Amino acid sequence: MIELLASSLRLSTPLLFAAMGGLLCERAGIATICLEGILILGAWGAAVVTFYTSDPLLGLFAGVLCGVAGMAVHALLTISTKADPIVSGVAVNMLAAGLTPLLTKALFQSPTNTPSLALSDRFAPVALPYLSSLPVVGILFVQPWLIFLGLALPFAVHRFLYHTGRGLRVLASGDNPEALSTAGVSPAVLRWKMLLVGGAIASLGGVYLSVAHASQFTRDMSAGRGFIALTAVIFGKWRPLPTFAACLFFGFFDALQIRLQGDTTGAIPIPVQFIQVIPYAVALVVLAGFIGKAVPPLSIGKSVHSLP
Amino acid sequence: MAPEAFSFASVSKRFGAVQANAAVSFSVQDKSIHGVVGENGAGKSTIMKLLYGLYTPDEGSITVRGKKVKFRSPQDALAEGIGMVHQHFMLVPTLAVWENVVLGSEPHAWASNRKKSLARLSEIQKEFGFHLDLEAKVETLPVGLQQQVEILKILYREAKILIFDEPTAVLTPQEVDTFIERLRGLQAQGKTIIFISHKLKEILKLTDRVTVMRQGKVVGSWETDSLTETSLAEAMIGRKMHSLPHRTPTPAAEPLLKAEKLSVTSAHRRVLSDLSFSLRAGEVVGVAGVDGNGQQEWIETLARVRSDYEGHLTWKGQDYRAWSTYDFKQRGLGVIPPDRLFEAVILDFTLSENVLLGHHFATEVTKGGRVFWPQLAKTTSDLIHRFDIRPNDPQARMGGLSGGNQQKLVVSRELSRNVQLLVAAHPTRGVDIGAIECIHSEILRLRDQGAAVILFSSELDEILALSDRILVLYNGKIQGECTRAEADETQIGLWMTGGSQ
Amino acid sequence: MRALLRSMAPPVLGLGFSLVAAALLLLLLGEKTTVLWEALYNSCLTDFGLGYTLFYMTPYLFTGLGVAVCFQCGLFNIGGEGQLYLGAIAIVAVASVLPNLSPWFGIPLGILVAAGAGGTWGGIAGWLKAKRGSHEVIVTILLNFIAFAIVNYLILYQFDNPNSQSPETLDVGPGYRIASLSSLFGALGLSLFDSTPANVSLFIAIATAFAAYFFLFHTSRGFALRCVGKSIRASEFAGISVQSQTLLALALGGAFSGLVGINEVMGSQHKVIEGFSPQYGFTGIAVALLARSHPLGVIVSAFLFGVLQNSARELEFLSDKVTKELAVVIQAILIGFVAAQAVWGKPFLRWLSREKKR
Repeated sequence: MIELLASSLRLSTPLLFAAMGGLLCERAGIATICLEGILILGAWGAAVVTFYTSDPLLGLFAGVLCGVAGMAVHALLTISTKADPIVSGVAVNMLAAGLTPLLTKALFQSPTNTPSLALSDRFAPVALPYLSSLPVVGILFVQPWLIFLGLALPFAVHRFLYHTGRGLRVLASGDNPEALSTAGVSPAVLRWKMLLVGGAIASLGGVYLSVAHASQFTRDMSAGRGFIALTAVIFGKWRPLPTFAACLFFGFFDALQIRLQGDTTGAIPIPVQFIQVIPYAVALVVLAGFIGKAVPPLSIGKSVHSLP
Repeated sequence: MAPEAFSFASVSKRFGAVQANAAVSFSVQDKSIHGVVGENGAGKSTIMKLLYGLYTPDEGSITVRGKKVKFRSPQDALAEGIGMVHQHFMLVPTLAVWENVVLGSEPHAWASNRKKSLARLSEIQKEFGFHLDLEAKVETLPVGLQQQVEILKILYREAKILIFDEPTAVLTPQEVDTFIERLRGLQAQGKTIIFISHKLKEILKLTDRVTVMRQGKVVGSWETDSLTETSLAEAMIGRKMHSLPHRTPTPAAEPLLKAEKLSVTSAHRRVLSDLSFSLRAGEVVGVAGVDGNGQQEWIETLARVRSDYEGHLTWKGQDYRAWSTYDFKQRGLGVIPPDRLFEAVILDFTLSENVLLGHHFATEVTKGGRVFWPQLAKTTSDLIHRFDIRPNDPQARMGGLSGGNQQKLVVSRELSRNVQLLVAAHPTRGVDIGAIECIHSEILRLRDQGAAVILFSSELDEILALSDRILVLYNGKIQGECTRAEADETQIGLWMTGGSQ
Repeated sequence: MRALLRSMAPPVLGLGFSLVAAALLLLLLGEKTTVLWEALYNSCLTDFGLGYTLFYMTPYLFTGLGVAVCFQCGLFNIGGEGQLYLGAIAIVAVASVLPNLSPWFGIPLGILVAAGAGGTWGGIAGWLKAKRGSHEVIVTILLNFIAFAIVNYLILYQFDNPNSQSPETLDVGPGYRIASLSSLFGALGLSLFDSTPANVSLFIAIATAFAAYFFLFHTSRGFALRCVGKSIRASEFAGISVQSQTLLALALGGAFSGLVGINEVMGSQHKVIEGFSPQYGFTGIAVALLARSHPLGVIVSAFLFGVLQNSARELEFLSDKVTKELAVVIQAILIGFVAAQAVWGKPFLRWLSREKKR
């Protein structure tokens, strides 16, 4: 059981980073279905540079740089050229999905994956003082530090959005950018900043995937986690703490599914696909408004009608 | 003479083909209340947005307190002590009052602003006599209080020159009175106030000086004491005013439209309660009232856009919900929606397509679900000629037309079929004078042909000009009712504020 | 003429721009740019290459239509991927229940169930959007994941081929097979597109595009659907039911995407292989966007995407430095370029009209 929890925690972490990055962007008023691409770029950059330098921290910076570059494309398209954010998001996702295998092939002769990293090159587990010596649950507190960062992040984001002047501007930018602009703050500049910051945070999820969770970059290694993170944001009604809970929820089902996949001893074999479906089905029910209504930032999603 | 607060010297601004301001020059004295009047599109808002830094002038210069200025943004204007309360409030509905006020000028960038802001704002409230709940969410406040939030915003930024763009348009007459008192109070505290309006009574009551604008130019500036309502109106319109046309009385008949205890609840709020009214053939019933008292829901109910009402509503004795919206439109329901750009037309479509809107199964242009475009183009051409719509091209994009021409197309479309019930909501809002006369005469022609017309308008003058009977809507209820002969502006004004008798 | 030029300019320029970008990328990867032109030549102008191009064009045409019809209604259909897998598996399902139908019944039935399955899936999203107000983007994404799980389950446990190592279904019977183009032309005494998977589904796809065009631009219901796409409030005042148009658009979109199954299952592979689609559904968004959501434009744009997809496949043979993902990169740049036309489009058109006046 505790193992399942630990595994849930590990699988929630990439979602947490992606969701918090996405949440910041969406609260600023830009829809981000490009999280998937940002995860891929972050994972790729981190794996490649860690492989060459044997320094996961340098890898982390490289991954963040790649992710931020991807988000910069999104910002350029959506803010500076007013492209539809969904269209732009699709473009960024495709760019990430296309470029990474192409460059992997150029560097390592194989398009599918980068060479695996030595154990010592990856982020090693760190034991939190006191907590890790607790009985039974202590094991939960011996993890790569990125996991702890991920756990702290929602609280930081919460504090930022609701208890600082800059956070106030972000909220205004998402709900009524015109009001912000008449107050003398450029929503465009603010959105650029938030997208770059959000991109950096989201790409940490990718870094975690390739340098902490796994030991290499593999093609499409994000496996839809960007989309799930986005669902978690909506699930959490664009608020950091409920989104945090949603990420844990999705992480738990991912862990459960993997566990059942390996486990064939059960008397009644449940096809693993059934377990896979549960979080999506639950999300769908929530989105259908059967469990409370999710109201997005008011300026999001207006742009669909501006299509050609 | 009092010192000058600011002045314009031959300021011009053009948007594409439209010359919004042409060589505008006038000056405003310090610590005065200065009115700027003109019809819709006379360039009042534009000139003020130039002063506030939202636009930059193409030519000419602006001088503030003897210093030539060049504003690139509202921020620059605020630095010179100029603040503006916009016609459409610039508020974030999901945030608290204090958050809206400090937004953009927060005391702390990276820490909580709550304590400091609340303390500072309480001081300002005390100084200027405001009583807002600073921690209430803005979306929960009535319009009058939202306006106070806007004023608080510019006071917080220590503006000395306060620009108000059509501030009373959203207020009830009662709120207008307290608002005027508030402006006087601000003047007494040493502020200069610019009051943009097309409501002459308020201008005459409140201001020290008035500048009249017409077609982007300044007609002149006068001391308010030297003006009368008529002289001001004539300066504004540029000619003598028409008198009301005479009309034949409505023949006595059974009502076509009848409502008993009609109520509508929207977002858990009862927006219309227990309306009972009727409408006969050959009659125009005008609904007067300040916007936001339930007009939208009433219009939507009659237009069949919403059918979640309680009570009885019948048309020729049949339940109002007996037909689908589309079928009802084919059976003689015509609707001129309140918001032209969003509800009446589709800007990206051609004129032809806009004529088809709402009649897309009509047999003269479709057959078996198929649209015959050449036929439709002919129908559209006919309407264009009858109503003198420009440009004369069924394939032109709706978005390229002026507001007046767009509205004429809407009216022509809605009246083109055998209309027996016309729901006309703000039929001349944002429309030039030529088009207003055309639309008014079409509505009266329809009445004389025996149709029942219900007219919603926030312009009392329009109601008085067209209606045979007048209902006054206040707070979701019919506050008063009178015939054309009995109509008395003071009495109607009283009803509009919720007064009785 | 001017209008045509105006609407053609962004896609054509975008294509030029992305090809240049692709050439630069090749240089960066240490490859000669000539391989790109060679690949393009092969996939457009050789019999064999064109056969493959037409084969790839077919699913893009279907998913492009599936996105375009929703765009016309102001909706995003990101669910093409799930819809097309369900369409494909539905053919296998009906073929396993009624294995011995003659082609006269089997082929129409297969087309019907593929459209029906995709349409149902799109319809669910439509219902959620119309009745419950859920955002269709996230709903169609979620429905994709659910569809993948269902289809994978069916491939592995219901229709699995026990003789195969890889996850795939049994073959459908001869009654569910659509003739290949080479056999069609062979019957006419021509030797065209031999040993390529191009098949008659292409004609079905083109016919579908014409049908969609007629529906959208020449019928009352199509007009109503486009009205909703432009203005929900104006549609309500015009007596158009926004809910039913929303449902209709997403169901139609799903049905079009579901038809990808006929190209794959009935036309070429005769079975469903796990992960057969190289993201046809997502790329459909780009196809529709390039065509500015016009059904007839989708035919041209699907062909271009077929060329790109096939060229990238050719590149893998011609070069040991490049992978087929180059196509995805080109497509991404193309979308970005077309999406950004707000910035370069207007000045460009102004320049264009100035040239004319001279």
